[in-house]
Amino acid sequence: MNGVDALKSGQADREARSQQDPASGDTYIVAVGVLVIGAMLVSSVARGFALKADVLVPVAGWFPWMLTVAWMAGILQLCRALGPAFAGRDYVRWVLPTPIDRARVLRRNFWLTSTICAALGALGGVVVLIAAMPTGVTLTAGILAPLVGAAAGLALHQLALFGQQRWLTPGRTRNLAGALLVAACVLATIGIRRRTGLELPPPGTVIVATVGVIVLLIYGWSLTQTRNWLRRIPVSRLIPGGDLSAAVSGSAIMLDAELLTIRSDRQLLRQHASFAMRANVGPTLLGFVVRDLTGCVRRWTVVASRLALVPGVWVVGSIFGPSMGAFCCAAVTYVVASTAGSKLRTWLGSSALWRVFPQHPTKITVALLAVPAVAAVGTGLLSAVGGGTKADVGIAVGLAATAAIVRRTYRPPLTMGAMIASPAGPVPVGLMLNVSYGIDLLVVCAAFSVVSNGVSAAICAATCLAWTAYRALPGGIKRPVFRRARDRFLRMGLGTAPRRR
Amino acid sequence: MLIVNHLYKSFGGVLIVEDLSLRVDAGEVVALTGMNGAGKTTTLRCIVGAEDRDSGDISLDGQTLDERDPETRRRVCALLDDWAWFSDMTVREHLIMFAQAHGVEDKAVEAALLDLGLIQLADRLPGTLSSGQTRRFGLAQALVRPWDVLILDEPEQRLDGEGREWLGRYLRVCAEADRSVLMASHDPELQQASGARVIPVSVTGR
Repeated sequence: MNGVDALKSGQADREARSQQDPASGDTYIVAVGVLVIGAMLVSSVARGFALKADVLVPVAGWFPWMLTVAWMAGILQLCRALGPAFAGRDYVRWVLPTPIDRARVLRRNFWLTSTICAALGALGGVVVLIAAMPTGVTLTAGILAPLVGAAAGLALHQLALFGQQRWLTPGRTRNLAGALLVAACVLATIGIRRRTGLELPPPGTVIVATVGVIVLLIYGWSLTQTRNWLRRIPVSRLIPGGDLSAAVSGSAIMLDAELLTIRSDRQLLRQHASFAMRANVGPTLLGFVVRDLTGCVRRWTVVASRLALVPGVWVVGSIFGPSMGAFCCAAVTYVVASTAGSKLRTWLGSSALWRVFPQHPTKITVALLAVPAVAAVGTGLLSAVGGGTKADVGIAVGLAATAAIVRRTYRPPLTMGAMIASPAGPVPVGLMLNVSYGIDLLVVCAAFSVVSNGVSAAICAATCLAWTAYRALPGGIKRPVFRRARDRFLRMGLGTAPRRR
Repeated sequence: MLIVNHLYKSFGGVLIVEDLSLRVDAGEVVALTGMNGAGKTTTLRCIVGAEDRDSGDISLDGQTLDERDPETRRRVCALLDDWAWFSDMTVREHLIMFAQAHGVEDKAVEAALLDLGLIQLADRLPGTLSSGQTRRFGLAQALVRPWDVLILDEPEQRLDGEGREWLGRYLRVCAEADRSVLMASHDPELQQASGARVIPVSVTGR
C-alpha cells in the first residue's frame, strides 16, 4: 500500500466511525445558517433600497463602489486568514512530514475555501447589483451579477494562493490585489452602468476590457497550475489557517466565541512579545492611562479596521434614516469600545489582578475606563454627526457602549438553564443571558436616545456607566466606597444615618 | 551531512537567532544547549521548515533543505514539541498510517511499540495517554520510518529514568549506523549517553 492509499484508507476508517457523530449534521446546520443569513441580507438590502430609493440618489454613485471594495477586501482577508489552503495540526504532524504528494492532501480544503469564496462573491455581486439598481433589477443583470461576483471571489482566492506559496511577497500581493480590485470595480461598473444608461467613467472601455482580459488570462493560467502551487506551500503557512478553522468550528458548535477570542489573544501576545521594553511611565494612575493608550497605538491596525466601519454608519443613516443610524452607530461604537477597552476587560475580569496593584481598585478602574470611554464617545460623535444624527445621540451611545463592555465582564456563566418555547424551537435562557448581557443595556440606551431628548439619554447612559462600573468591583471593595460616599452625603446634612442593631 | 550557514531569524523586531552556523556530520549526534530563549527551538524549527527563516542557508549533503521537497521529507525526521494527533485513531493506527506513508511494512510498528513499552497502550486513543507516554508515542515515529537526519527538541522532557536511558542508547546506535542527530537538550546525562557533541547557543534578544 503506498502513502496516499494509506492516507485514504485511514480517512475512510475515520469517516466510517464519525458517521455516528453529528459532523454531517453540523455541516448541514452551517450550510442552512449561511443560506438563511444570505437570504436575509439580500432581502433586507433590497427592501431598504426600494423604500429609500429617493434618499439613495445622492450616494448612488459611491455606494456600489464602496460596497464592492469592502466586500472584495473582506473575501481576500478571509482567504489570507484561512490560507487559502490549510491543514489541521494532526495532518501537519502525521501526514505532511511524509513524502506523499502534498497537493492531494490539501486539495480538499482548498476546494472548500474556493467554494466559500465563490459563494461569498456571488452574494456580494447580488448585493452590489441591488445597491446599484434599487428601483428594479433586469433579468440579464440579475444573472450576470452573481456570476461576475463568483468569478471575482475565485480570482481573489487564487491570488491569496500565490501569496501563500511564496510566489508573491505580502507587499506584491497587496499591490496586485489593489489592481484587481480596481479592475473588478470598473468591470462591474460597465455591467451595471450599461443597464442604467449612464456613461462609463474614464479610462474608457478599451483599457477596461484589456485589463479584464489580462485578469482572466492570469486566472485561467493559474488554475492550471493549482496542483503545483499546492505542492509548493510550506508547512509553516498551513498551520494558521488550520488553527483558525478549528477555532471557528469549535466556536460554532459550542455557540461560543471564546475559542476565537483565545486565538486572537494568543496572536496579540505573540505580537506584543516582539516589542521592545516599554518606557517606564511610573506607578501613577496617569501611567495606567498612558499604558492603555500605548496598547491601542500598538494595535493600531485593529483599531483602524474597527474605525473603518464608521462610513458604513453614515451610509446606513442616510439611507434608512436617523433611527437605524443610531442603532448602527451603537453597534460600531460598541466594537470600538471593546477593542480599546481590552485592558479594562482583563482588569475587571480577573480578581487576581486586584490583589497585585497597590492602588485602590476603584481608582485603577476609573483610569482604565478613560481610553475606552473617550474612544467610544469619539466614535459615537463621528458616526452620529457624519450620519446626520444629533451629536447628543453619539455621546449617549458612546457612554452606553462603554457601560456595555463593563457589564459584559460580569455576565452570568454559560449554562443552558431553563428552556422557553418559541416559534423557532426551545430557547435556552442561560445561553441567551450570557450572549445578551451588556448588549441589552446598549440597545436600551440607543432606543432611549432615539425616542427622547439626546441630553437626557446621555445623562442616563453616564449613570448606567457609573452603576455598571460600581457593580463590576468586588464586594469587599464596593462597601467602603459606598460607605465613604454615604458618610459624605450625611456630613452634608442630607439624609439620616441608618440605625445600628 | 547537515550544514547550517549564517542563520538569522527574528520575531517582530527582536532577533532570536543571529548568524548561527553549525555542521552535523553523518554518524554524529550534536546537542544544542543554552539558556531558555537562546533560540535552540527556533533554530530547529527553521531547519525543518516549521518557521520561515530570515536568511541563511541550510543544506543536506549539498542540497538545499526544503521541506516542500518530498525527498527532504523522506530523509529528515523531526520530532518537535508541536504535538497533535487524530482524535479518533488509536496509537497503533497512527503509526501504521505513518509507516505506510513512508513505504514501510506494518511489522516495524509492532517492533517500535515493543521497544518503547507502548504495546499495552497500542489500542488506546492518544488523548488518553499520560504526558510521558505521549512523548514515547512521539519517539515511536522515528522508529517506524527511514531517515538520515533526526531533529529532536528536548526529547528528554517528561521521560522517566528508564526512558532517558533507552533514548541515550538509541541515539548512540543511530550514530553508529552513520545517521545524524541534531537535538536541543538540557540534560547532560543524555548528552553523555548519546555521545553528543555539544554546541552552546547564547541569547541574542536584540
